[in-house]
Formats: sequence, structure tokens, C-alpha cells
Amino acid sequence: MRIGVFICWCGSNIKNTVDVERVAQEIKKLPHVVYSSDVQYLCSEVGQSEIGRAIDEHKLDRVVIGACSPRMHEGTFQQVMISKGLNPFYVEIANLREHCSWVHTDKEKATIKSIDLVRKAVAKTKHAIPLYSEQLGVNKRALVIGGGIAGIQAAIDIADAGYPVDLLEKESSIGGKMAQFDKTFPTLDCSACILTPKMVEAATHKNITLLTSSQVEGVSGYVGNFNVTIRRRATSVRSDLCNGCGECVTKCPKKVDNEFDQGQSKRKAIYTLFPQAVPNKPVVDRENCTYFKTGKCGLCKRVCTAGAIDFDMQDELVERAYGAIIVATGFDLNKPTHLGEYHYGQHPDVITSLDLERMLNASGPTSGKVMRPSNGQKPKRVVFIQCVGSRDKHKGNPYCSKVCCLYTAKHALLLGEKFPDMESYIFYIDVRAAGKNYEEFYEKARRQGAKYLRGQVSKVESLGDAENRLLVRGFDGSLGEQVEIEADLVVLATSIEPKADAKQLASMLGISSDQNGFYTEAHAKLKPFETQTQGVYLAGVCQGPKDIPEAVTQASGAAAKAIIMFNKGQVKSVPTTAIVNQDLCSGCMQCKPVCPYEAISKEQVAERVAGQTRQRVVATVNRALCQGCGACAGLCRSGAMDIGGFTSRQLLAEVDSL
Amino acid sequence: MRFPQKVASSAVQAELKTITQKDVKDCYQCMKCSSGCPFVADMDYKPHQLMLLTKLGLFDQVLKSRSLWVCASCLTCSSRCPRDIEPAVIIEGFRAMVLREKSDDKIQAFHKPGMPRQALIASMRKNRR
Repeated sequence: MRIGVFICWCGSNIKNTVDVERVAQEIKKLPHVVYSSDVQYLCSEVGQSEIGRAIDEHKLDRVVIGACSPRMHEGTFQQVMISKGLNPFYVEIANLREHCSWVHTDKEKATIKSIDLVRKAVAKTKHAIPLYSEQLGVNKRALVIGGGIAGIQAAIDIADAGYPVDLLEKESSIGGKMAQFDKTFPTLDCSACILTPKMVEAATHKNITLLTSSQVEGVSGYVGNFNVTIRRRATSVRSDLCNGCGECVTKCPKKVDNEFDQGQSKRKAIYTLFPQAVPNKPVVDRENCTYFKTGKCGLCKRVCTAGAIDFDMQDELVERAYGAIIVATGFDLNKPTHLGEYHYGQHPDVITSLDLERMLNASGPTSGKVMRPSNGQKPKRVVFIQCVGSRDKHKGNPYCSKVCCLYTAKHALLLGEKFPDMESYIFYIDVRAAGKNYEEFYEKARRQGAKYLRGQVSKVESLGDAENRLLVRGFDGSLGEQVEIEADLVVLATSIEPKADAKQLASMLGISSDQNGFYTEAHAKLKPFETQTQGVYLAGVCQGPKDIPEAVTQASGAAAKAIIMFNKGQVKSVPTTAIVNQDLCSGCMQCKPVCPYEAISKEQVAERVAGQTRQRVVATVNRALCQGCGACAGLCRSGAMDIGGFTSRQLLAEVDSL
Repeated sequence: MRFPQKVASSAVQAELKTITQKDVKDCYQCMKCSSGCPFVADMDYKPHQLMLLTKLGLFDQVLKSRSLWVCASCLTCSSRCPRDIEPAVIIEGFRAMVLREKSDDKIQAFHKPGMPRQALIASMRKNRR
């Protein structure tokens, strides 16, 4: 065995705290180490070719690197090994930066620790086994979960690349939150006008299959080979027969609070989500439908000329195979009843921004007329309150919801246009206008007359006057005094939150969420739409609050990842997974229940013992499902289970060397 | 302070707009004007506060303030305002309205090319020359 050791200065990151030359010299004294040097930047092309040259000149067959975290350059050094014909798992990295030079200040002690760390790596690499990736086949079909703008964009991109996509949507129509908006900042485009062309494209694209009123019931498998069980909920309307005439909706006698209008209007028990719904076929809300609750009515069935109503329809469970999954499940807007100081839910004129958006929308509960919910009168003085439940460690969410500063400026602008003599006040902490043309949009709102007061609101209460107005008590930081405003309407910019069932979906998909419930990306900076699970990608607000251009960008990025995988047609498996030595395995199967990925199963092997052929049960690992967590290896009593790249011999050698 | 407050009439607001030719509504309270004003220690309302009061239409408070007459028209605020609102111009605009009212319009506009108008008028007002 001929080991080469390379200690990196990492510029000054390691060199300033660790005597790298001394480390290299000390390590040279170890048996089997035939080459040892220190290099300024190992990751650079110069550094890499130095490693390559040393491998050639000194006929190295193992390489030990003392540098930054393997998370940075493990791939780089593995590539160097491959280029020199060596197995990439014959390189071992000792983290002298994040684990040493960046966390200590005493140079002498840090140097001794570095020597220990490199010696440990040398001991480990002596027992390294070569590992090989397998090529896994890929099912070139994508699943997009969520039919909002992000899901629609991702589906269109993958479909345009020539691959079939299933676009799954829980509601009866695609469109998501954008379908509820009136206008979008900063262009003040009508939201439906820019959304519906994409909805139509998704509905008519030959490669896209819309699965509305459907949700994910279960997921198994691994990248390139996912098996998803989808529940197609019974809508009671045969979409192949329904012609969308709408007679059933007109005649239905049962009225229900319309969730799409934030409960401000009524819909029927048989309904379409909104006028431009895609698909524009009604569905029956069985929880509220009179027929399903009492057995009486059934008027819709009688008036339907196409015979499309089918009360006997059942939920259908469908199993489908996909190579890639894109999660674009979106968000919900918090209703701040828990923040009693704002009086939300106690006075009808305290509304959320989405409530106002629905009022502004021409197909909303008031046909686009903005009015005080209490008496239908036009508001003369409106107060907007920012950061309600956001940036709040006490009773709300600690993060910033990102889009509210801009949409409140939009609301102030739109209301100012409708009611030129209306006064609007906006209480804020900061105005965040970081996107393209957002600062100019904020200027537009100011110039139009929106009065921005920097200070938060402590209380909103009823004035108790004849007009049933509200009193808003806030503060103006500029004048440095408390400000009270008699308001007709108070609009709260509430917090964006992940959907209530986001965690449930995450556990089905094997992805994680952060402490706020948003799905976790693989790397915050450089992998914003990949997850820790290969083959599952993220798009839109389910990954974190963002505006529409960012959601679309992320969706196209996620689609690109799926397309790359489909174009290759294969996926390299990760070889640092569990390996069973079937000769040692006793078949106790204690490993099977501890595997979080259900990657272990039983297998029969045939052996010849004493002249006879015998069948024996042993464990076997699906190395594509296995994530290399090590639970099984730690548990295995026979020592038959090992993790490639982290075998028991390697780990014990590390411990012995210290 | 409780809103609604008594605000200046639209005629008076229009007069200020005509004199100054500036849009105070664009002020975003960055406070750069106050941070550079050399006389801010002697002022009751600081320049950024005067801008906000103007924006809110609370002209009475501006007209009653000490600050209006402490301002030296040094133009530090104007040269640094990122919205090109020129607080010194707004303040001089208020002074002009006071003088017009008190002088029965006998004070005429005087313009010397190259000299900022309000510096000249401020000097005349203070030194009676």
C-alpha cells in the first residue's frame, strides 16, 4: 500500500491556525505513507494536478487529504482519483478547517489536533474497500404535486421537453392562490389574465395529464423509480360526460360558505371553483350536499341533460410509476384570531389582505366593489397593518413573509385609484422592496398618497360610534409619538404558512421540513430546489415565502433537474450504502425494522453444507433505497452488515489510532 | 395625535406645491436630511419630521414650529435627499407662505441666475436687506 498525504493551506484559513508543514512532516513518519506535502489551494487546478502528478510519480494507491469539509470538495478529489484510474473511495478527507482551524485559536493545540485528524484518516484508508456505483434505470415520467403557478410551470417545461407529466391538484381546478388574486405587482397585470393562458396550456398539452380532485396517498421507491398511490376523490360528476353547461350549479338549492372567497360569499354544494376553472367541470361537496347527508334532493341529477351526475362514484386509488417528483404544494395565509390585539374575527371590518384581494377581484364576493363588510359603505379611511404574525417570535412565525410589503403597496394604489379621496395609512416596521422594479412600485404608492408610518400597531378596537368604526392605536417613529387613527377598514397583512398537511406529505416523500414547516432544500444557496432525497424537487412557496417570478424561476429549475435525469435515462446510485456479508449474516432480520427507508428484506440463499444443499435466510439491501444511515450496521450482532466507506474495521481503526 | 386631524385646505396645499415644485409625498423617512442638518439641535421638529407633517397635511404644526426659522438654508439636506425632495425648499416654501400672508403680497419674487432662490430670500428675510 502506498499512501500519499496532501495538507491544504486553504489560503490562510488553515495555515494561520495550523502549522501545515509540521503536520505533513509528522504524517510522513507513519508506515505506508510514501509521500506527504502541503499545498496552498488543493482544490485549484494547480492543487489537483499536483495530486495527480504525485500519484503518477510515486505510484500512490491511496490518498489522504487534510483540507476543508468533504461537503465542499469530496467530489473534486474523487474526480482526480477517477482520472488516475483509482477507485474514488480510496481518497479519505480529514476536515482540518471546519473541525479544527475555524473553531480553535491555540496554534500549538490546533496543530496537534490536525496531526491526530490526519493520522486517523490514514488509519481509516488502510482498510478502505473499493466501491462502485450502479446505473439505475429511470422511468421517464414526472409527477408534479400541486397545480398552482409553480406546479403548472414545472409541468409545462417537462412536457415541452418531450416527457409525460402528471399534474396533481387537490382542488377541483388548477390555478392555486394566483387564481384568487386580482392584480399582481409590480406590473398590475390582472392575475387571472396572465395565469389562465398557462392553465389552458397545461390542460391541452399532449404530454400533460391533469389529475384534479386528487391527492397523494402513499409513496415508495427511489429516484428514477417511484411508485405513487394517488387517491382520485369521487367528484360525483362524470367528467367525460359533463359538458360544463352549469345547470346543476344554478339549480342546486344548498348554499355553503365559499372558501375561495375567504368565506365572504356562498357557493352551492355542487360547484366549480371559479369562473375560469380548468377543468371547468363542477364537483359535488359531499360533506354539505343534501343528498349525501339526508338522501333527499338529487335535483342536479334530474336537471343534467348529459346524465353526468353519478352519486355512486367512489374514490379511486391509482398506482403510478414516476422517475421524478416535483413538490409544488404552495401555502396558506394565516387567519390571525390568535392575535387578539387586532380584533380579527370580532369586528367585520378587520380583514386580511386576501379578503381584500377577493373584494377587489371582479369575480369576487362583491363583484369588485370595495366596501366595509359591516355596512356595505365605501371606506373613507383605511389602515393597513404589516407584519401581522410574521417576524414574530412570541405568538407568530419568526420569518418574514416576503411579499406583503409589495402587495400592501399594491392595495393602497388600487384603492387610491378607486377612491381618490380615500386616506390610507400603512403601519410598517421595514418596507422590503427588493425585487426588480419593486422600489419604483413602492414610490408609486407613496406618490399616490399612501401615508407610510413607521411603527407597529398595538391595538385595534371598536370605536363604538354610530358608524361602527374602528380605532387603531399605533406609533409613528418619525414624529416620535403615539398615533391613533379612526378607521373604516383595517387590513392585516398576515403570515404565509405552510399548508396544514405539509408535514404529512413530507414524510410520505421522505423529505424534511424546517422548524417553520417549509420543505428543506439540499443547499440553501446552491441547491435551492433539490431535496436530500434524490429525485424529489421543490418549487414555489412550499419551500419558503417567495413572489411569483421566484416561484416560476424555481419551477423551471426543478423541471430542468427532472429533464436532465430523463435525458440521461440513468441515475448513478450512491455506493456508500449498507452491504451485507451473507456469509456472516445469521438471518435474524433484526436490521429490517430499524431501517427508516424499508430498504432491507429477506432473501433465501442456497449453500452446500456437509454434502447437502440447504436454503438459508439472509438479509439483503436494496442499495438504491438505502441512504447509508448506519442504523442496521450498528445493530447487527454478527457484524455482517457494514456501510460502504464507513466499515466497522475502518471506524475501529480510526478510534485505535487516536 | 389622533386622526383625523385638521389638515391644511387643498388651496394651501396647492400653493405650497406651486412655490416649491416638489412632491413631498415621495418622502420615505430615511432621515438623511436630519442626520446632516447642522442646526438640528436647536430645532423642535427636525427636518424629516417637518417633511412627514407636510405629507400628512398638518401644516399648522409646521407653521408654529421654531424649526422653520432656525433653518439656515445651508442646503445640506437638499443636496443629500435621495428622493430629490429638497427639504430646504419645502421649508422655505412655508416661510414664503408666511411672508406672503403677513406682507399682504407685497414681497415679490426675485431671481438672480446661479443663486439658489431660497438662500437669497432667507438672507433677505433675516437681515432685512
